[in-house]
Amino acid sequence: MKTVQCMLGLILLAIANCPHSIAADYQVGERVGNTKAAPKANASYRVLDWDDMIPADWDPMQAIKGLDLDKLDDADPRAIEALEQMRSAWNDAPVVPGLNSQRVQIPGFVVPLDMNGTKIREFLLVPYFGACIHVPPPPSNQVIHVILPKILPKDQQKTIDAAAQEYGPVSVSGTLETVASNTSMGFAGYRIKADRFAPYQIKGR
Amino acid sequence: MSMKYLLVLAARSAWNRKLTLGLTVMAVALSVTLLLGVERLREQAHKGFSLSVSGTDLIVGARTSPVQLMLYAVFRVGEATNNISWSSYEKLAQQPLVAWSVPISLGDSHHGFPVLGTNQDYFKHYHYGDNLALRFAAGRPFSSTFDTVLGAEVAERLGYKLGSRITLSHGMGLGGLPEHKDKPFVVTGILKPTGTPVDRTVHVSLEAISAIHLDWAGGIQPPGFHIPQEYVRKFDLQPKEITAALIGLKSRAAVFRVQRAVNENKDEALLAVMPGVALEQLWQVVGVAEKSLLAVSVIVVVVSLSGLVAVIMAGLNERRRELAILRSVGAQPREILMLLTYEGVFVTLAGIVIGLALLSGVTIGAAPIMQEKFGVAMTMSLPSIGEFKLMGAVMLIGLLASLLPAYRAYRLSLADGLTPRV
Repeated sequence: MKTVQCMLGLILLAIANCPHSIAADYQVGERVGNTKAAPKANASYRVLDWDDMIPADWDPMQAIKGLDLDKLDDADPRAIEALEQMRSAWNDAPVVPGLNSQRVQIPGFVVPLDMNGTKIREFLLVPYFGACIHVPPPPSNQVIHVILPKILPKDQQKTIDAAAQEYGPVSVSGTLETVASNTSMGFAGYRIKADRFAPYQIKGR
Repeated sequence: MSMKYLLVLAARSAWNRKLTLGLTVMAVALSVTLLLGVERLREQAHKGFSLSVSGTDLIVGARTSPVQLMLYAVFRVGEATNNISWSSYEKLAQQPLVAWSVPISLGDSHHGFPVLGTNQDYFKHYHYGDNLALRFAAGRPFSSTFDTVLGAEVAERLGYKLGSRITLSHGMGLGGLPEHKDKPFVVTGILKPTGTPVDRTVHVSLEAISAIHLDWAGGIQPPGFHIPQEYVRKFDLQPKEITAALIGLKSRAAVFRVQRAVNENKDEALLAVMPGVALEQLWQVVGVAEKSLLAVSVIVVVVSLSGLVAVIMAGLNERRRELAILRSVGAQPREILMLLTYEGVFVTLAGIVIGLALLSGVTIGAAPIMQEKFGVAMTMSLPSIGEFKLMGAVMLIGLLASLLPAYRAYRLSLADGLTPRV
């Protein structure tokens, strides 16, 4: 009888070991939470919050401010215009230039870009889950293009690959670069040349 | 008794019952082949698919499911639901954030190999694997309308060289397709092998796709209507529509913004997908089937190992006397236990080794079919970590399973075997 139990156990083990888990464990729109609460891995990195990446004086909602939304219909041309303005504000969201070439640590959700075999080579880091599929994407100053170092320890690569499979969270440390909108890119944004990665657990889960 | 003697004894005893044990070994071997085959197929499919596109930020096509767009535009699996107009493509290509774009036109074939209409930028911007560019084994990109560049496998399988003349068929598939016989192409380039669907592709210019369909209407060439090859250049060969486009951006972080702009396009129903995201979606869809396949093959392994237990158990009756004699000449019950365990472990081990060999044979045999039908490149390689894990699990189950008859033999008393039964 024992043998039978052992066999069943091993079958379950083999199936559970199967690397692909289906359906992510996060709710759409779920955010990484208070990043400062995360354990500090290394004193040489500044722990960054997603809000730190938005200039203090930037307000995408400006267009809506003057409107009395209660009195407006969805199809009202004024409402549509305000929405369009808000969208273009999101598209041209400015970056915080002071963050350039700072060594930072920030957690976020992974959106895979390039893969070599099953290994992730480049990805985008976003502040909430489902940014790529279910919900409108974040403004451009809330997206970080993460470039992995050529050689990465195996366990860290595994951490990223696992996170990418379910668009899950990961903590990234590295040098942040800002690209201003007046450059040839025609687009403002952030980029991290990453040094190290760590699994990230959302608090209270 | 030393371990060496026990091993020799176990081997000799097993040789005496080689037929039943041999069949059991075969059963274990076949189940192991199945199990490892499923695992290998899964791994190679994942690897092959994710190697096929690199450095491309967006794939744009007619509005459909992201996975389907990815499948037909990059892997040439299935057919396009719809085309996109040339004007939409041009508008997209001129957006300030777009660094480069490559138009793609599919639908024709050559001896079952897909024909891809594109422009010269394809050879510059299409990257695969770890950001590798396409390289020519011989020749150069197409320059005139009836030039063609072949993927490595097309050239090899059909024996084409530079300067060979080929004709394309209308539609996809093998046999029974109307041919574009009147307008032959000249091979001007052959690409190096990449291990991606490019190897199986015949590349021509977009103008060529327009040209061979000039005198066609509604999917056939109307009888009596024919525009000879030499007059084709007098027509406007500017394509009216394409199947899909590969887009590279100046900044990869801008991908969401361009994607949204494409998806909200009001003039035409377009869809932009990020290859990495679409691939993950594909694996989530396929994941359920993969898991059930793996579960079934695990069950097959367990069944075959149960067969192993049954065979050794049944053998115990025949071997009562043998075991009793061993006991009478001084073997301890513990050694009898070891003897039987060795047998089970040997059979499992032999099964795994033969299974692995069988799998290699099957891989060689099935590789061309897998490549052709499903776009999955199966290569001969050492077993992966995943496969080793599975083999370890089989070995462990085999060991545990053989403890069962071994324990029974251990409990058989000396007198039991020596007393003649009536």
